[in-house]
Amino acid sequence: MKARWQLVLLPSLLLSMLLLAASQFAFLRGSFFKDLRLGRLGADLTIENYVRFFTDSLYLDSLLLTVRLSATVALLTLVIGYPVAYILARMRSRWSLVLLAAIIAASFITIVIKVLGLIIIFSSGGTLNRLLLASGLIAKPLTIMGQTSGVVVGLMHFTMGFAVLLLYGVVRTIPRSLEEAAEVHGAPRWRVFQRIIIPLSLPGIAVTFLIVFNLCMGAFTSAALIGGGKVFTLPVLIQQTVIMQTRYAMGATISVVLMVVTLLINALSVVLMARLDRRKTAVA
Amino acid sequence: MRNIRRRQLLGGIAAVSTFAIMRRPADAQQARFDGVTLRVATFGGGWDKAVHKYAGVKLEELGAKVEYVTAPPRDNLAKLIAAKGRPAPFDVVEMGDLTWVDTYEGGFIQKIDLSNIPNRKDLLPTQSDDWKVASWVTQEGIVYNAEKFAENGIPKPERYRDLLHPKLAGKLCLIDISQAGASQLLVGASLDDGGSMTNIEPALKFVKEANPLQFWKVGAQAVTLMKSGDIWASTMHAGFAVQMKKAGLPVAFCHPKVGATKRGLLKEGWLGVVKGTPVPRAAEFFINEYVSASAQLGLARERGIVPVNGKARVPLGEDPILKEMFLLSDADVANMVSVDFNVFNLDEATQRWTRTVGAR
Repeated sequence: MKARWQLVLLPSLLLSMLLLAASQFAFLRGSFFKDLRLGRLGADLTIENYVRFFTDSLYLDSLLLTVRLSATVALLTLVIGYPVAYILARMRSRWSLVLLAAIIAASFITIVIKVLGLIIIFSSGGTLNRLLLASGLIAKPLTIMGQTSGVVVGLMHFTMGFAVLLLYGVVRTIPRSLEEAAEVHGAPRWRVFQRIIIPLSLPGIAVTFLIVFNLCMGAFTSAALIGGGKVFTLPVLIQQTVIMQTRYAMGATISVVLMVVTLLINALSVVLMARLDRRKTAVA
Repeated sequence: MRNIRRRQLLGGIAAVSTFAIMRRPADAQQARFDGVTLRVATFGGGWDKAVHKYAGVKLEELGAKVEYVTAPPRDNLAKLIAAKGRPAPFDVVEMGDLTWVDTYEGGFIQKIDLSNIPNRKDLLPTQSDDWKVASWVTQEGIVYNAEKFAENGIPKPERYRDLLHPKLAGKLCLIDISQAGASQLLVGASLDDGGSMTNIEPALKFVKEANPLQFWKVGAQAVTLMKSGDIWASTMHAGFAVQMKKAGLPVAFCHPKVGATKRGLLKEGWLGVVKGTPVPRAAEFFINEYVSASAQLGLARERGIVPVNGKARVPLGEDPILKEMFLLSDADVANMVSVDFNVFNLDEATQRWTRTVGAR
């Protein structure tokens, strides 16, 4: 009898679903009532908040900005993180463990401290700007404050450690012998990458992309601190709507839309990956 | 002889004791707060420590313990909303002028027994009522680096729109809409350019054109940027100018002209007793100490607020830095702009602000 190992995942899946459903139920319910401010909700069910969300450019622009930022960060993090993870995974030196430990340790540093570090590094009198100005590479100091590009940098700083760790695990599962065999048969290095390493790590790359993307969709601190009050992603709008305007129903509506869009993008990605996998299997 | 002396001595002691006992009614009436814990919701960033130093310790001397819940007033309001129906998360709440209306309308504060606030006699009549007692006043305007302005040939600012000087591009911070003080900026810049408390279009145009490096959410953000030289000016209250000047920064403060006759903008802080607190008497004692002349003077010197206690304002004129940064005369204060929160719509302003300044 074949062991059904996937059943082992069931308890953790159920627990996660329960925690998600319980916490989101309050938001979902609240989003269908009229906002009376100060945390008070109307008595009748209404879809007024959703109509407002999807007809108001403020919310739609914010949604697009959040998705765009998250996708950009996920992509750039992969582009930078993958080579790092690959080198670490293939290093024969004991330094690989030291570097890996450094990445793990860096992942534990709270995002606020990381962001403050970035702000210091990119301050006009900071070392980076002084070096760049002295070298003549830039005419005026670089800044990350109050710009979407700055928020991208902040989010990458936040997610890079997780991405490298995930990708490290992915690369470690690819047998080194496969690369060596390809090289023995005359395949140049780039070809080995293109035909063996990337295809074999594609599921891991997709998962890493989605995890980073999901982290960014809900990230508040980088957008709030580096965005300097100019970058209104959905989490920033939620905070503003709930804390500043005490409109809990509208805040709940934005939260629900954020969650549903994130889940939809994840589901779509999984379907696409499955379809690609089937096509690959059929070709093989 | 010896007996007589002893008798005289004992008599003397008895007389002194009787006199002392007769002299003690005030002390005897002084309530003790042994075992009481008072939770105060106030600002962080060192403000809580200063408040404790000048007011909290007085309550602790009488046996109580004072704890502080530090957050901006809107965050503390959110905590009150979240706790509705359950015990309040704190006993005294410090409110910015834009939060006070919501806190009152939400039914989160209870009436204060004003007979327990004797220091009220030194406040203006408008600075206390059954629901709230004024805790401080700040004077909103522009803090700027006078040296950088001089070096770069930028004229000293006189009104908000002077911050649109081309040489200040990228060297400017404005207060964020989430902060108490943003309303004063919006109203001040609007009134100065043909707008009103209901028509804030001119101010939004100014904010858009100013395109600051960032909108600060915590005063320390702007102070840090000012110290590092990233910015040369920021809209803030004069207290920050005092703190920066005392730290050795070459800053000056501008009370912006508003229209033809007005100059400067006022912002008020309020203290309230949270509804259902189990320790209302301790809360009122704390409020009374907070608005005492000594506490207000200490807070003014250390944190740069303008005291609500009239007795504490008198010595401020002797401090050269405070004298330079604050408008202290009654005539000057009377000529400053106060935002009428029954007219100014913060909700609408917040939404319009977000649409105006949001990056795409």
